Amino acid sequence: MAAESVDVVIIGAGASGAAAAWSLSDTRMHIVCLEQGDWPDPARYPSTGRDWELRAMSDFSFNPNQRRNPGDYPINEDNSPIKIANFNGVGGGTVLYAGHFPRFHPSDFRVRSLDGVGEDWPIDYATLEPFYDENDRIMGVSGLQGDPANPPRPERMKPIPLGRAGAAVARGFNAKGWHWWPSDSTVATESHGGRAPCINLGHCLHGCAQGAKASTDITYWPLARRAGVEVRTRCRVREITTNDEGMATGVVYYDAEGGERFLGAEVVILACNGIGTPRLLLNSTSKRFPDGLANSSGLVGRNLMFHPYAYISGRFEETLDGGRGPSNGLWSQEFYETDLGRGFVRGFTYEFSRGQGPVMTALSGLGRGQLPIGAGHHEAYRRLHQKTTGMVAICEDLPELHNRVTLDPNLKDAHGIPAPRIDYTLSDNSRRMLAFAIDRASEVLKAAGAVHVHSESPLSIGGWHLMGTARMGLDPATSVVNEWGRSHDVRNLFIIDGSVFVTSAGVNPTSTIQALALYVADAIKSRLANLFD
Amino acid sequence: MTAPLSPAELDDLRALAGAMIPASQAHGVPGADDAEIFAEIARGAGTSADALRRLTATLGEGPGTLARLDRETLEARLVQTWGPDAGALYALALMHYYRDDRVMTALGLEPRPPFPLGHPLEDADPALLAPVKARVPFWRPAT
Repeated sequence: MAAESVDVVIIGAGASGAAAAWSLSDTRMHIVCLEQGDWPDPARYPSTGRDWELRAMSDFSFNPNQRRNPGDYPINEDNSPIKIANFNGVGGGTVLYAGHFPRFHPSDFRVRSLDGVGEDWPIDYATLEPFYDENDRIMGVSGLQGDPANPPRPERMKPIPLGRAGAAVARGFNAKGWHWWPSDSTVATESHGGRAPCINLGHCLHGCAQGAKASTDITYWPLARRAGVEVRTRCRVREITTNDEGMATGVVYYDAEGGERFLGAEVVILACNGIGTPRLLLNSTSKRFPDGLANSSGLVGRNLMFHPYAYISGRFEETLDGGRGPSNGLWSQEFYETDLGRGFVRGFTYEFSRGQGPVMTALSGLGRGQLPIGAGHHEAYRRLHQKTTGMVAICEDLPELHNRVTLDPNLKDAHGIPAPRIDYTLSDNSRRMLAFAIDRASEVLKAAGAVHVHSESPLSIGGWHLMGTARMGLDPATSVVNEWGRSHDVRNLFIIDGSVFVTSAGVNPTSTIQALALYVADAIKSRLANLFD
Repeated sequence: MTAPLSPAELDDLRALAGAMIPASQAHGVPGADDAEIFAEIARGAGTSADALRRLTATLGEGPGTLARLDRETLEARLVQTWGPDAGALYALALMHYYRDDRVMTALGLEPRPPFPLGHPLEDADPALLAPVKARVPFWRPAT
């Protein structure tokens, strides 16, 4: 086995790995990032070809079991009503996310104290705020200052245009007297950091060929590589190795040619998000760590949180936007903070969902029983075409021990590494929240003029947000990493992705994942002299 | 491994596609059994072969028999026996039909990929936001 050694190895080149690499690059340490996928090629993104909607269901599907790219690993998700969405490649989930970029609220860090459920975080909003701001600057955020539902934000690029669909939904919220606001988004509406502004391709969720949406392959990575960080693609880590003192010594990985290699490192940083991170920790067993690395609490893989999604759409008689334009651009946080009178604890965000292209309009119509065969087909299709819009409700999930990631006893990836298995049950609180969200959204859409409302809950394809499986905390008995991301058990092992989330909030998590990664990187830099004490 | 579709089975698939999405003079569109469109459907039919064979067994009397039915009869039988296999084949037809140049043009869409030209998107009236701007901040401080 060929051996080499570096100062820092980062596993995963997605949202958090890229941010930490950039932040740590100013230390001039020797940093290598290992990524099991490849560099994305925007010239090959679906929106460049006539089959753009079909490829969203094949090689650019956000479900790895459907996508089956060489960089992907299989996931046994049979025992979960919500299926996993991810992307394995440089940029990670930011390649396929919508770019919706809300922050946690201050109350999200004090869930136990304020609402008596979940746990409090060991850090607060004020701690993360400068890192949110720094991340916004690098990623480039559009939006509008002054949202009464959120603490103040720095100046942003102008918001994404509402379009006809967004204006219709906004009118619905206004009619109800409820909050809405132009979303914070990483879709650039002006030139930013070498990126061109959005031209409304309408295919943000399957890679932005324009480069307007910030994915870390085009934001953080060019900066980090220029500063000396090396990214090795098609390199899949099998395990993190340790010595007799319980310190990480490096990683064993398979290189692009399938060769087994060892990379020694003084510091190991895990950035594989809520499924990949516990999978790797559980696969890193040894005599000293028989139950997996960093797992003395038994919590590695437990407390898996998604955001259960409801999708609520309305069919209008007026022509709207169809598949033109970013999918989002408006949010409502009218029901974000806890009000027990609603029948559930915690809350949710509505994220506007603009519309669909011609193929997805047809397939959705089929799924909803709105598109007959035969002579009536064409009239029915024209009642749907460019006439549907709506929203999703992103509901806060609470940590529960039985929702977990384990290793499947049979399923393995292309390198023979045990694959993850998901066991997840929707809670009663989530069911009540989803039902409430559907009812209120239906009222909004009807007030906006919808002649028919349809809903789907929980959205089975909606496992975009993977959190909680290596939680942060002060007590080693009830958490996996400490308040600055260092493993309680292995003093040179850090975790910087969504798995450290203590609670999930009711918003898309990427801005918080990246703010945390920058915060942990800053903590490492400020403690270099005594990092392992 | 599923065997590829035989010529008789392809005839059945084409008849089904035409019954599901017929041509319409009123809307100026071809049917899904149009030669160009069906060529795309046939190219993508590999994973739907089993569904076609089950449906053929249900609706007809063996490969090639659906193609000999008149369209109204076939449509009526499909409606009467609608199930997952028919749904899978309908989805297959829809996926290829709604990216045909003539169909897109008839819908008022330009027959091109989104990139590089993109699309226009209107700004809304800024006054829409006025009632929300008037609200006092209502996020919960965590102190």
